[in-house]
Amino acid sequence: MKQVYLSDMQKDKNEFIRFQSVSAKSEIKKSNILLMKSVKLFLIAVVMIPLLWSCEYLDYSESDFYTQDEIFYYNDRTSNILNNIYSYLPSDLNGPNRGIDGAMRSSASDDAEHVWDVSDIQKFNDGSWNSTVVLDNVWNDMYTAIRTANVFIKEATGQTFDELKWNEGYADMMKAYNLYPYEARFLRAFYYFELIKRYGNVPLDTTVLTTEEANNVSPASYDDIVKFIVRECDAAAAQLPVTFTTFISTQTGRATKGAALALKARTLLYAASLLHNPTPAATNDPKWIAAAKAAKVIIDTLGTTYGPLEDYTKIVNNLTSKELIFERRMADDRAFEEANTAMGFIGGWTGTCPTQNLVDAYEMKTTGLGINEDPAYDATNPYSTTGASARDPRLAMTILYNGAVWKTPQTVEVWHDGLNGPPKANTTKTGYYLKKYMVESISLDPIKLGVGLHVWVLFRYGEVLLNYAEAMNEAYGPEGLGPSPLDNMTALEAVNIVRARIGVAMPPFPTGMSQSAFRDKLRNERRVELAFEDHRFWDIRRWKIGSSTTSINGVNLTKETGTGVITYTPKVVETRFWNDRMYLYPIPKTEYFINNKLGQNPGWD
Amino acid sequence: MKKHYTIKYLYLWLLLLLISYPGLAQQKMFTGTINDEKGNPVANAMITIKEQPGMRIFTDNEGKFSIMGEKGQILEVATRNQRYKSLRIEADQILITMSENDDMIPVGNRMELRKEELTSAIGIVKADELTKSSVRNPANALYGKIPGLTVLQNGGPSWNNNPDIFIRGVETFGIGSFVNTNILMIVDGFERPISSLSLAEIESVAVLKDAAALAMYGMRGANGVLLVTTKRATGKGLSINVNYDHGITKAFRLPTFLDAYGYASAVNQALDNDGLTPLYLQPELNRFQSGSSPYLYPNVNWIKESLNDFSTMDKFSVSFQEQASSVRYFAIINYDHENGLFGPVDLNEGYSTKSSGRKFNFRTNIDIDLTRTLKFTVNLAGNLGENSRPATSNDESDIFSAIYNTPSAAYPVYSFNPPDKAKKNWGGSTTYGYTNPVALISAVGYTLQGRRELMSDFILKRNLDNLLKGLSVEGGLSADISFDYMDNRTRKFLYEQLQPVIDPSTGAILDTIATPYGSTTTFTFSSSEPTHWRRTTAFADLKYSKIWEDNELSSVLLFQMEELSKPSKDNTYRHLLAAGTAHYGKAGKYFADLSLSYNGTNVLPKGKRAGFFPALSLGWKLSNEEFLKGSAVFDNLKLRASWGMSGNDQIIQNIYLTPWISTSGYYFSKTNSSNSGYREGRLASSPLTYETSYKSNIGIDASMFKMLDINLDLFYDKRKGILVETGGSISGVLGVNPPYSSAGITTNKGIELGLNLHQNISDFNYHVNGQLSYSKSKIIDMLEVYRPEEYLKRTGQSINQAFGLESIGFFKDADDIAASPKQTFAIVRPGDIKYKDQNGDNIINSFDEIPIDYNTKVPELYYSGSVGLEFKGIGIDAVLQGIANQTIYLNTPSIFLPLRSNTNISTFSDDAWTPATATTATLPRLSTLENANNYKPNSVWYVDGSYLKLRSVELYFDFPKNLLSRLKVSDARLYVRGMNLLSIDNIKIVDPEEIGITYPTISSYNLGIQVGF
Repeated sequence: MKQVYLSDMQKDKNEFIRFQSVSAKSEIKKSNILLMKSVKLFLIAVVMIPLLWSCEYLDYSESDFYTQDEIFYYNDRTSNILNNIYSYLPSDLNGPNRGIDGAMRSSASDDAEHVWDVSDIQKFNDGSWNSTVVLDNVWNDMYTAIRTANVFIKEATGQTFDELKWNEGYADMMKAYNLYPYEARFLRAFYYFELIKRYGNVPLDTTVLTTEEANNVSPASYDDIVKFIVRECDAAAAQLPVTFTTFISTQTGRATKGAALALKARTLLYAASLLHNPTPAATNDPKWIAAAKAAKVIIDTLGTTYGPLEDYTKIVNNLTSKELIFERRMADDRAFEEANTAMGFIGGWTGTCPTQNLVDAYEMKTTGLGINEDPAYDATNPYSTTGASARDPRLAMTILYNGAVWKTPQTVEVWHDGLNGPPKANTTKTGYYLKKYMVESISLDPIKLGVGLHVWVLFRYGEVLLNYAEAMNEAYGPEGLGPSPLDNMTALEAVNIVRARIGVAMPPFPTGMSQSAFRDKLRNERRVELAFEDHRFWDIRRWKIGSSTTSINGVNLTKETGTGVITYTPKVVETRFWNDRMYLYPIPKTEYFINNKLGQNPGWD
Repeated sequence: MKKHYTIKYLYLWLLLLLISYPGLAQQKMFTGTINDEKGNPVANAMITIKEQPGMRIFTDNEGKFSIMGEKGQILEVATRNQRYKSLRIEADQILITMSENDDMIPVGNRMELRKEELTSAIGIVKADELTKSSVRNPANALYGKIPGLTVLQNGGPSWNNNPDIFIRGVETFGIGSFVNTNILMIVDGFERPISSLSLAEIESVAVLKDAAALAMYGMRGANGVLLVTTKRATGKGLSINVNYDHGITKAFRLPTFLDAYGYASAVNQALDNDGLTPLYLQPELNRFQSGSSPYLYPNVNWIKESLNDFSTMDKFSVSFQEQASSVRYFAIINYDHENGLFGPVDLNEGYSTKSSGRKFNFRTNIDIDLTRTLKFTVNLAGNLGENSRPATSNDESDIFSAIYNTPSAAYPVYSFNPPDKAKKNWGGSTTYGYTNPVALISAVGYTLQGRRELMSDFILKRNLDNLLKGLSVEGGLSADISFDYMDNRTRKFLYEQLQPVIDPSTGAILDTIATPYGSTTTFTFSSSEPTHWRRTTAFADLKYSKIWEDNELSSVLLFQMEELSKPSKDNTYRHLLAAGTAHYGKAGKYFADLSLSYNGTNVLPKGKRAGFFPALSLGWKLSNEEFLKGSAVFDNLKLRASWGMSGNDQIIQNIYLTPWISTSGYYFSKTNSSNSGYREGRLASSPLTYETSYKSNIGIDASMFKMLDINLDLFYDKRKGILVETGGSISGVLGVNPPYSSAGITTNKGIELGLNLHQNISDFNYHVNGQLSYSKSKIIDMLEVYRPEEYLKRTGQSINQAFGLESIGFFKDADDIAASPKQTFAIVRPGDIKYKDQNGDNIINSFDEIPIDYNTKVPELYYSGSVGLEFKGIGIDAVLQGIANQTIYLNTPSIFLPLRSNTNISTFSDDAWTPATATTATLPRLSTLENANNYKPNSVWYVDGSYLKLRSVELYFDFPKNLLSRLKVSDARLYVRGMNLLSIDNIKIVDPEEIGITYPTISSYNLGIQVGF
């Protein structure tokens, strides 16, 4: 080594001497040579630099995002993906850029009519929707949520974050983390249910699709997807905790065991209904039994968690409602109030107008009979809250009718020339305004605008009881029982729990009803109890009663000057279009155009 | 493999550089004369002998020269107007005619060819044509100058004004707002914006149009290349040129808005139409009309209050050029100054809020012969620009937005508060906003915005004749920087809203209530650097040319690397280019060019970065064939044909990866706390490549009867690989934003025709020139989304085709509405636009939109005509330029769409529907609401955008030479000139080229003098 080093030194020295002698010889031309030399060096450099750089020169990126690997490498980023999967949970709270073109889906059922004639929601009602004029198009959103869940379940499952092992709180972190895949599986099942209740047969995929695969998928049958949802819910329910109130830190809002079981119960209920179960057995229909069992599991195992039932006015917009099983949460805002406050009140433009059809569905408080069956019904005081003419208390809790108090001391004035009545533009079409889900305390006064909490109910215990009642009645009749676990609560008992709710206390259903009489009354009960919670629209479809829901009624009010006597004149607000193809949504033509394997639902082109 | 080759080349180059030594031969004296095509002697032309580099001889005033050389050597002639000829010395007496065919045409990438030998489609305009414009941005001197070059004027003050430039229309489209139609601008061989230069320093502007010319630019060239060449020293000795131009400017057109009475009546009419109560009562209307209460019921002509009728501009330049023994230089300084149109700018003590732009350009182009075979070129140029304006938040367009949108009845310029008459406050109103136009001009302080640009080139060229005759090697570096700065001195002003107190019984005005808003503040200072960029390029090339027998060959091999870096991310572009081209000519009749380039870009992913672009072109000069030689008809006749490929890599960066993006999250816990979310972003684009344009061109160049030149080009381009959104072809089941894909295909075909008639009749000469360019694009594939009707499809239409509903009149009454198909955009009332139900479904919705007329971006037809007459030094020149087949969407608030959101109304709306004019109205009813039915793209607001403009007209006088020679002046010219004076069009109320609310286009009247020493 040393020798080599020395010889190199010697070589350099020789070089140096040679250079000295050369330069001495050509003293005269020295400057010229130096110039030439530098010029040559310059040219060489010009030629060489690009050649030497050519390989790396074009490697230049200014990307400012994470790639998939970088995302899943960190626990917090991973959990943010799950947050995003939750964000696709639906609500029917309308408002600017919300709902169906600013309207609630309820306005496409016989529960309500939307005040704006040019809103897309009217296309449900006038029949002008089809596979190219699509409404409520959740296709892309749901598949986006599903894909994100598919990626998440694949990548997040089994991660251990070993490098964090010695961190404080690692055990807690992993405790939460290990639930993530189950939450994602529940959510994915939820989104599949959103798809099948609209479209029927849709593609079912649990892998992350390539563009090629996405364009060539075949739809799975409705029943197969129901099976998938049930399986996923069972798997999630086995792992998810009953509550997150006491979980590490408070993490309420996450999917619980109850949420998974409630989704399973509702899915099986829908699957057992006429639309998807066209020829049920007269008794002991296995689909209805399965639906009843799924609801019963919740009643048996979580009945005390979610019951006894909450005060009716405290169910919605309440994060801590006891009855609440799963909800869609959102940031505090006032969009819903802006969209639904009655014209005439400050900041009000009107939106959802509950129909006379719905108002008439509220029974008499004393007898529990319908308004047509009970002579105590007073057509001149239809919204009575006291005495024999009193109506179901839930009416006043759900709907703003003439004379109802809104933001004391304001009262709603729907009569002609009244504060919230015609001929003022944009006042209610039906004679009613919406109350449920409206947060009364939110100010719409432009100089002190307020915001408030909105919580959209996705599952609550009241619905589970009604689901159970419906399934039991269909399987065994109003007062029949089945084998365990269906051996200790009849349909009648279940619905009466709901009616007996504190603050409502409607008389129980009578005993001795026929299966079909019970069915009708139960359907009425379900409509009233779950009004404006986005059930009616779907119930109409699964019960296949669409053609009987086309006449939309309202009321005209006139106030006699002097006496102040108000006259109620019923009116037909509109007669809606119905075609049985509307039991399912059309597959969007844009999708069918790309992949005709998707097929089209009956009656749609 | 690749590396191997490059290293081989490297050794070759090194070898060539190191070996060279001069030789000697037998010499004798030759004499000769040089004339131009008219027979006039060509003075001051440079003669060199190729074999004896370094020696230069110039012709005298009679065009004569004598030179030492030997027979068989190649004699080269270069004239002062960029004509060039080389010929073999055969006789002792040499007679040379220099004609337009000898024009040196830059063909890109440092190659020049004589016009005669061109086989590609290239158009050129030279300094003498360009300097007939008085403009600050040289791009504005190009209207109608070159067939195939579409230049469209934009508004904005001259210091901030760039026209849109397209070559042969457009044949591509970007995604969303991403623009990929930019042409490539090259100045002296390096990419640079032409706007950085001054007109006085430009020698020529050439437009490269077909693949034969563009293939060498690899994936930069597909949209066409604009080649700018700056002036260099020519001729012998020192010459100085001085030019001064003074101009008066005015707005080309300003819209006319209704006066206060007209406005108030229109508002009432609109409210009535909407079924709402009128805003103004009759006594109030009367007061607007009579002007009896000018403060409470004002009638302000905001244009008059805010703008001067005229303003001024000045231009001055002086240039020097000299050829000394071993150094040649051209140096110029140019100063531009233009004042804006704003009127009340001197209301403040100590400062002015004037809007004006000043710009100082300089350039020094130096060529140094370091040795007889080594040449060094240094080009240094730059500019310092500064403009000032009122300190509105954006630019001058804020002020025009206030001037146009504020109705005359809104408020007075100054509020008048009776108890304190001495105190004048700005008028204003909460309804119409904090934007009193006069206050915006004079009371918000001022902003100085400047730009510094420096452009530098260093090129060494070594002649390697001694190694191989005709071989040379060249290498160079270029570095440019541009930097903008902004200094704001902003303040706020107080305004007062005046409201009357009216006696309810008599209607008389009892009192005025003045409510002040805001406050007058002191200055707030802030500085920023709005933008900057830098660009560096290094290149090396090897050139070889040879003449043997009647063959000639010239070729170049080029290697180039470049980087452009702009602020922020995804704004750095790097390119590597290896290209070669060879030009071959046989017997002066047959010509062929072959180009090959291999180009790489950093915007594409590894492995897909480079593309290969070949081109072949052929030329046949029929007029040199025996059967046409001496023809009385054809002085020149050439056929050209070319085919080749060119690319475009203007695509969104970093789309070859799938990003995970921050997006909506969710809420947990009893306090509903928010948690952020991540989601997979748009999938990595696939396939992803650059655009390739397959270009075919055939052309004819002809000169007939010694007075008529005809150029005709036909082209057909097909572009593939255009990046498109694939949403239309990928199922939503994918569950993520589908990737972009380079799957778009378009075609573009067209024709260019140039006719030039010119004649000299003793002292009188004239020319009449006509040019026409037509191009039409068609989208062949864009993976379009599903559209239920054939007519809805964008595929098959032109790029940027206008789509909208077809109006079939206005609704007469409620019955008419009830009897018509339902219109779903808004609740319609009488006077609203009634649309045609295209698909017969009895519903008017977005499925009833049809293609209407033409595209909205680039006219299909662009034409111009110029006339020049000269008699004994007195001449007149005029240029007309027009377009046709373009559609304009009239969507400018106030000017075309009146009254919405408390905006203004112009005379354009005079034809709006009223119940009385229902049968004759051309526009829908007035409305104060958004009216989604009327104000959406439809055939009412799409109008024919064609125009014919008088771009310039000039009267000049050349002082007689004999008079000048006594003053030691070589030439002098005095001129009067008008720029952008007239337009014949359908828009009438504003410039058809600029219908938006912004600083208007300008007309100018100039007086100038040019003197050469």
